[in-house]
Amino acid sequence: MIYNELSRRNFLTGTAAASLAASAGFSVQASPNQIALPPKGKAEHCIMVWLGGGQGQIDTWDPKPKGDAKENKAGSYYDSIPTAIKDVEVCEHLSQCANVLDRFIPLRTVWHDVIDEHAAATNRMHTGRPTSGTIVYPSIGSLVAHELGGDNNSVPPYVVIGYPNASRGPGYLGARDSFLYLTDTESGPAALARSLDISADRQTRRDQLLTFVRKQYLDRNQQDKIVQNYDETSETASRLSGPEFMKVFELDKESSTLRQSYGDEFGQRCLLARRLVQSGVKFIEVSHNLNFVNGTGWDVHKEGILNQHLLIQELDRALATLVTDLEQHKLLDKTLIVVSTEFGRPGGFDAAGGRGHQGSAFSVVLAGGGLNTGQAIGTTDEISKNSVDVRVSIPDLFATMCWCLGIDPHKELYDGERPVPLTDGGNPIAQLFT
Amino acid sequence: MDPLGILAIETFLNLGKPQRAWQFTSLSNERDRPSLAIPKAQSLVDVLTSFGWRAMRQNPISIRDDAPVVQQPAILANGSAARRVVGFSDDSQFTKIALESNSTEEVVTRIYRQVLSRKPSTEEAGLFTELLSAGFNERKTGKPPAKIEKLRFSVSWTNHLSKEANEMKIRLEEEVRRGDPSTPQLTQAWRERAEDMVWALINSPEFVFTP
Repeated sequence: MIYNELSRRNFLTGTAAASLAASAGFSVQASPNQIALPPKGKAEHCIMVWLGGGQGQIDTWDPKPKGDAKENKAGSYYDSIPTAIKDVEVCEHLSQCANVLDRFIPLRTVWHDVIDEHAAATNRMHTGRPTSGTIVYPSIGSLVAHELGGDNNSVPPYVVIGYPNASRGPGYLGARDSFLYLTDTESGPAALARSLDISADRQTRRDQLLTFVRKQYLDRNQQDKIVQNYDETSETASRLSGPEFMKVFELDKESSTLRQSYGDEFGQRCLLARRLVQSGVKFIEVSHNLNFVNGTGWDVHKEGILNQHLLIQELDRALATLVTDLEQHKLLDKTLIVVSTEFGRPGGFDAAGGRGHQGSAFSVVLAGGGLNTGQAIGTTDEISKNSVDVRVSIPDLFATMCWCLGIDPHKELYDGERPVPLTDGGNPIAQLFT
Repeated sequence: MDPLGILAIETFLNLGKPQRAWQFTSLSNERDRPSLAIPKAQSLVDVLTSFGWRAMRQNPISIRDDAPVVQQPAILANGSAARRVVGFSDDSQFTKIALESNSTEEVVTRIYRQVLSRKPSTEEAGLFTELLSAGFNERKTGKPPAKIEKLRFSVSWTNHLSKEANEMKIRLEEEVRRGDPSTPQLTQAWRERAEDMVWALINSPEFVFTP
């Protein structure tokens, strides 16, 4: 069964009740599942770190007694260490994050049911709902861009540092709420960065020629509002390609000490994310896609697990530096960090000593955002397979992210004439808000 | 991802070679792996996407969304696909026009037809003829066309996790970003001015609204 599917019957009774209530002047609650919202979050930006492949919670944020791959004894691959949160441990390779874990909230019992196929799970973890035959749902980044993006005249509200794909896209919201992307920090954004082989003189000549042909066309189409609007947009695009916004991408303006503490390419992406936040970008997805480090990325089947610790260390270093760097810039309370992934991995091993997929319980880690950090949500059993207390559904995770950014998770958007709730009936985790 | 076409139809579906926008499908790099990227197609899909195209063949978009989107002019000004269109390589219609034409007027008219499907106005013809007249008679260098080397491609599903597959795709990405090499058949100064003309035309709002 699909989680939290709104049945037609429920929907109809709900709507009927709502319209009755509305006509009688009562306050309307659109769904019986909705709770009263906790105090609203005040974050203004979100950085989502995406761990492509499916990070194993038992080897990172939710450690258990050690197992043995050779003996096929379920358990963690590494030792665990204490953290800045009392009674909360993490894996030994997360030592830098462990020291500042009081700025974090590990959500240890996130769950969903699409674990067979990576693309499907990626979609679930970006849109927060099952796919449908009639609507293409937007990603969380596009939703945030839509809600907080403003007038489209300042900086692009949504930036992806990674590969473009449909799950990261705007769905029914349309191209306006799509992302700007770059695949590596060296070359800048694919659609904006001017090619280095075009000299300043040439660019001036191009702009002069364009001014001329543009004026000719606009003079002939003065009454056409659509043409005028497009033309205004091209001014914005031109400004964004100019030096002011492009400066954001010049990481060599940062001190070499700071750059080194962020680490290699993934760390540099996190540093760029901080600079994008400073420039006013609302949502940044940073992909950790360097699968050649261990052959498989976080998808540690078989021998992929042998060098998994290198990925964990790389993440640890970049993430801990990001948190402290944002804090030093007084941006941590304004910036929600989300470390997300397709699904988790089981405590048991496959025939070659690696791990398969697990959706029944896995970790998504939040940090900053002005939330009540320094607590872990949810406890799993001795092999981190199932929750022994609360469970965090994907809609609730999305509602928590939205509400942290001051976006009402129950709000309805429209695909043409069809109302679509912003989250799939999710409610924010109340104890994270004050 | 199945270059030899040997995998079972349940696992791999061949959708053919796209000739029209609707024939493109999602490039599906949900796994975010450089080795699974398809850089050249991506540069075209980026243009389509910024104009509202969706990666769903079953649900193609048939009505133009008039809301202005900043990515649209941006991608025409600086995107990889636009750069390839503007660059006069030995695989370009514009290079052909530049070599075949007998006068600057002819070059200007043919470029206008090619990009905007119309003749230039008197003012436009005047401006661009002036731009292209300097060095027009000496524009041909007499050099042979450049050899365009195609990267030999051998990344498939079975080997895509290797380090080499990643490196190869990253190199290809870089090449797509750079575009095809400029033709040696035209002098650099004249070629660059002609390229700038094409750039101005595809960045004019007219290009986007030409029916």
